[in-house]
Amino acid sequence: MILLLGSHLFTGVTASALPKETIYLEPTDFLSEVFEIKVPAPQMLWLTKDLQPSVQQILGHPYKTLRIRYWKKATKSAWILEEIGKFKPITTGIAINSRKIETIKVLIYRESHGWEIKKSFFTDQFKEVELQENLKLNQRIDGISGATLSVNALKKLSRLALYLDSKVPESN
Amino acid sequence: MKNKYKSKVRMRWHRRIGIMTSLFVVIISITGIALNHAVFFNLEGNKINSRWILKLYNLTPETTLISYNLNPDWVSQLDESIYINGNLIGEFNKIIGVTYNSDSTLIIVATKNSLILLTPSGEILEEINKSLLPPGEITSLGLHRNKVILLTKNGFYEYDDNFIAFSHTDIKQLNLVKQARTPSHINKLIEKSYQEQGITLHRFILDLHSGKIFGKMGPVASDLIALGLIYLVFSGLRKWIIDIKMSKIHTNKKD
Repeated sequence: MILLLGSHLFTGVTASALPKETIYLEPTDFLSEVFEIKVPAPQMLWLTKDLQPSVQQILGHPYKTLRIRYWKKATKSAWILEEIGKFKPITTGIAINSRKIETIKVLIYRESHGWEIKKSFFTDQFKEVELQENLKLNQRIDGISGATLSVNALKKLSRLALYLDSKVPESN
Repeated sequence: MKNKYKSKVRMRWHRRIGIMTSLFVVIISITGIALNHAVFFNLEGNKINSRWILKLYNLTPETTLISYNLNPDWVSQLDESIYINGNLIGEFNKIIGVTYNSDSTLIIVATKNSLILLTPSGEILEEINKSLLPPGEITSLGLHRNKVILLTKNGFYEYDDNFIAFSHTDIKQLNLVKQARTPSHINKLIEKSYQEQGITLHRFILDLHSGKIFGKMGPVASDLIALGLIYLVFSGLRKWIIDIKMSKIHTNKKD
């Protein structure tokens, strides 16, 4: 009974904790970090009917927009993508070099729980990770207890960025 | 004799309170289990459409409905939800301005922190984050000589036709789409959509668990039940200890 009352009080407290938007890194600052000297002009990748099935396979649903902005210079590309963790979208910056993830950073977080995914001990696991033919990552990413949905969202976005990168031509 | 009477009264109340709280214990237990496994049961993804439950919540928006007539398309906002022709698009910040693009194939919506490009059928072409927009707080959006112009506190900015690049411009005025009275058929669609998106199964179960579903008296009733349960714990323990003592006395007497 006492345990039930405890859980009763606890759920009351969690219900009042509303998620708010936290900007960890502005998208423009992320791009400056990735390209160091000069950020290239943005380009557009349209999520055509050819790409949609794979995007849906990765995310489990269609991406929220019909086109995605990206920045590319030689073998390096940068993507700013969003995916819902539990209730709200997580804005993530992903840099890819030669089809491998160079960096992944949580830029804007809007959930009340799971913010630990922004920590480098977690995001560093994605470094040098590639996409396999079956659209899965070639390395295991360890989760964080209590942040499962945010972890899953980041894993999906990393796969999506690698897939989209494979669909854009290399530039000079 | 007096002690026996007192004990009988205590047990009568133990029984009464036990019966009274039993239903609530079952409700709290079941809802507690559901809340602990909210993701497994997809509580957030399930919406409640039952009219009597929606009535119970007396759903009322925090803001008044605002609409812009692009002719023929209507862009509306109620709380954070944006609608095109009464169809829900998603949740965004407050609308600052709306316009068509030069050939009216896209609806452009400027909010406090983004520029949203939409097809008239309601698909989101792109949502451009504030940090990728011209510098300064967005104050207005409109057309000038068939070019989409974004006005920020730093000045006027003209977009190219693909909405990829923008440049500073020296124009001094804009054609703005002003707010208009929402037509009744769109109003009805939005009202229906708002109510349907209002209550998730998670919220309903949480409110049932906390007693808030029963209005202002809910939490008070919930507290009384909690006190009742505490009483049951202590009166039950007391009875148990007394019974042990009594049985020991009886066995000693027999010996």
